[in-house]
Amino acid sequence: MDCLIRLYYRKGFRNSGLDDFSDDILIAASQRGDKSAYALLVKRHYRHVFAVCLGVVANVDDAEDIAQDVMLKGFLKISKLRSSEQFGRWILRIAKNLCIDFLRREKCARASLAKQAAQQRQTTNENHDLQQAIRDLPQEYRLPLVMYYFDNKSAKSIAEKLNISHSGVCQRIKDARRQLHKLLTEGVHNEE
Amino acid sequence: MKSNCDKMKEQIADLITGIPAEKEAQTIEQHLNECSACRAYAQRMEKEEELLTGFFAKFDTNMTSREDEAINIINRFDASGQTNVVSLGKMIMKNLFAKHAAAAALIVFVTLYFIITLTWISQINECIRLCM
Repeated sequence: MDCLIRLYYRKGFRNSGLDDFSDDILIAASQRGDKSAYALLVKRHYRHVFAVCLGVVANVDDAEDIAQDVMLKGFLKISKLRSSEQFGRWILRIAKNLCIDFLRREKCARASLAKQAAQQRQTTNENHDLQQAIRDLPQEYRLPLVMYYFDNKSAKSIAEKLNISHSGVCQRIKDARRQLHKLLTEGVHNEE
Repeated sequence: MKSNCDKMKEQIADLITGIPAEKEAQTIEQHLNECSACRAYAQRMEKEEELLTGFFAKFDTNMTSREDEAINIINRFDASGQTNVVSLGKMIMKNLFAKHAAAAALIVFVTLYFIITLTWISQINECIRLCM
């Protein structure tokens, strides 16, 4: 914490909290190896990274492991980051790449797990049905949907993070929501 | 009527999800008052919406511990000293001045090494010559 506190007093931020540091300052400190500055960046961005991981891999435990790897990789690679304004997008890009690597590695194992999960579907509770339905969504729908509910339903924020148009995000969420309803309704009919 | 209901259902889904709907909320509500099938659909969608919101909200309850775990992993990794070495090398290579300074330091070090080694060899030769 030493480096950041020294900066904190030098910049005259005594009346403000440590959270008031902009990403620029925290990234510059992190690039010099300041772990406490990077810890604040983790606190600020972990939620979005976790949402992306969950949106891609559709499993909470895997998403948690990958999100931790993303943050560690971010710390090791932060010196390569040229523009500090891009940190949010940059860390989400790392998250997406690590998720894709993970899915590639786990493709066979996941396929068998999905079969098992589908067999168990009939006997599980409502919440598990929802979780399974989210898993069954195609990735291009699941990611914006998960981020939408994580991000206080702000399609604009998702468009900025994923670097796609606002109307594109809205369309994907609409499609995802309709497909999810279909999956859940089919599940109810199957149980009947 | 059915095709009208199908179009309306899309608007109902958008309205409940919070995505801007093409038709006004008032028009949709008017249709819901008249159509029991769409009303039942809207109720199911609302229930799903509550489930979805609750499902994702539960992740927020232990988000802090997840963040702390990620920070602990970074701190533990750094304790092994690996990141310090990497960051020093990267810091030198990134800055042009640091790169030149490092190159100059290396040249000075190599020159001093040769001077000291040559002096040492000549002193040994001198000793051997005196002994003989």
